[in-house]
Amino acid sequence: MTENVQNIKQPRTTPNPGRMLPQRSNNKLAVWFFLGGEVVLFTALIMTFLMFRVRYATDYETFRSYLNLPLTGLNTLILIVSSYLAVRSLQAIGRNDRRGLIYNLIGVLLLGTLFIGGQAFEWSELISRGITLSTIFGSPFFIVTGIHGTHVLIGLVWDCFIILFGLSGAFSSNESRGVEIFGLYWHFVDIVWVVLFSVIYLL
Amino acid sequence: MAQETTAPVEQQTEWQGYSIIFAILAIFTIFEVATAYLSGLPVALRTGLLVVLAIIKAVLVLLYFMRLRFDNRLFALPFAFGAVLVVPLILIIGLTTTPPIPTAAANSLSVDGNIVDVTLRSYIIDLSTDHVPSGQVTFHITNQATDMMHEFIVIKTDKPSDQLPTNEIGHVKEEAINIIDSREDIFFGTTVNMQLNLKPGHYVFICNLPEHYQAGMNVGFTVDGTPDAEATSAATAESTSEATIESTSEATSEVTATATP
Repeated sequence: MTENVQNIKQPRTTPNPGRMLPQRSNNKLAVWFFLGGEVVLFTALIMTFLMFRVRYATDYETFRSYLNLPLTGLNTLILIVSSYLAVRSLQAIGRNDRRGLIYNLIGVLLLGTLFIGGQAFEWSELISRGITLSTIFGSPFFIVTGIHGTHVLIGLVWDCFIILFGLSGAFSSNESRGVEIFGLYWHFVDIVWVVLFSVIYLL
Repeated sequence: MAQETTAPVEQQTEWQGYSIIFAILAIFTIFEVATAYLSGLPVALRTGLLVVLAIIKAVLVLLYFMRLRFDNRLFALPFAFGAVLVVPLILIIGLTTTPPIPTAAANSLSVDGNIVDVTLRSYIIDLSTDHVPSGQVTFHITNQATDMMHEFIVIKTDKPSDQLPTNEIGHVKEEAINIIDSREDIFFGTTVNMQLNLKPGHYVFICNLPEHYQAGMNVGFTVDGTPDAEATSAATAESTSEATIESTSEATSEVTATATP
């Protein structure tokens, strides 16, 4: 018994040097669990949208003619570029390049804001045509894109905090988890949009 | 206890292929948008192509931008678990999705006399015929608009359908016209029936929601026959109407109403 207690009390101070895979971070694992939940949420929303499409196929064609494909295609590109900048920000802090980190994160902020602006413009176009939350495709469209847009907005606020922390020198090549976790979230929002863009606008 | 350390960032981010991944994502996106304008592409091929491109894009972001490929594989598990959880959801939705609502022709309402199929769209009223013999007429009114409510008003008038008296905001002045019967608030995707006993003459059907009349929701209609022959039949305004309203949930309710002159 005494021997066991002694074993427990002995701290393991060094990681296993022979291990090849990166160590597991509990923070990152938590984020991945969160993203797993988000997968369920967005799949449910997308399936609901698809159900409406199957049920009212003819009406959907009319609704789709109201959608602004060139604008949304551009918006999709904007989000992909912002995702790329998020990767570059992590690369920058990996080199201890704090200036690069901040510039790339500001780029993410600007492009994310542009994306929201583009979506707001499309929403206003649709609403001016009489398509509202109470209409057959307005309802699933505004809910799905609205929930995604809310995620983008949350990401932008998060980005602001990361920029502020970056400016205060909180990140370095040894401490970059905050940037990395923000990046995971931002890329996930990008993935969701990639799928939404195909389901709503293209297919 | 698991040690909370990550591999040094330099090791994780030293891979230099992110620009290539970004370029692939951008090119795929441009190609996807371009397919919408390629009219010659078969639908099945286009759909398959778009699904494959979307999956590739999502996987590329997941593997490289989210760096699952370089990171601990354990992180993929919760994500995959979420994806597995939605399978029953997809099955439930897939199995319970019913085919489109049947049209008015499938309506179980028993009808006498002539049937006119009326289709309301934004902003047009389509009729299966523009004239019927006098007597019992049943209108199957279907709102096929994508997302808009409409109404169906039957007016007895000699004026052309687009020359009814309107007020300053484009509404037809309902007090200045002879309304035989109306169905208001016909929700999109629903079918309503109206049964009328119509005298010979010229009628106009309109939707009098704001701007709908002026946008084109008006159409003329003729009831054939000689007025004398109808003298013995019921007065025009004595229209008995029955409405069967199908909601999207397919709960069918029957509403019987007698129109007042």
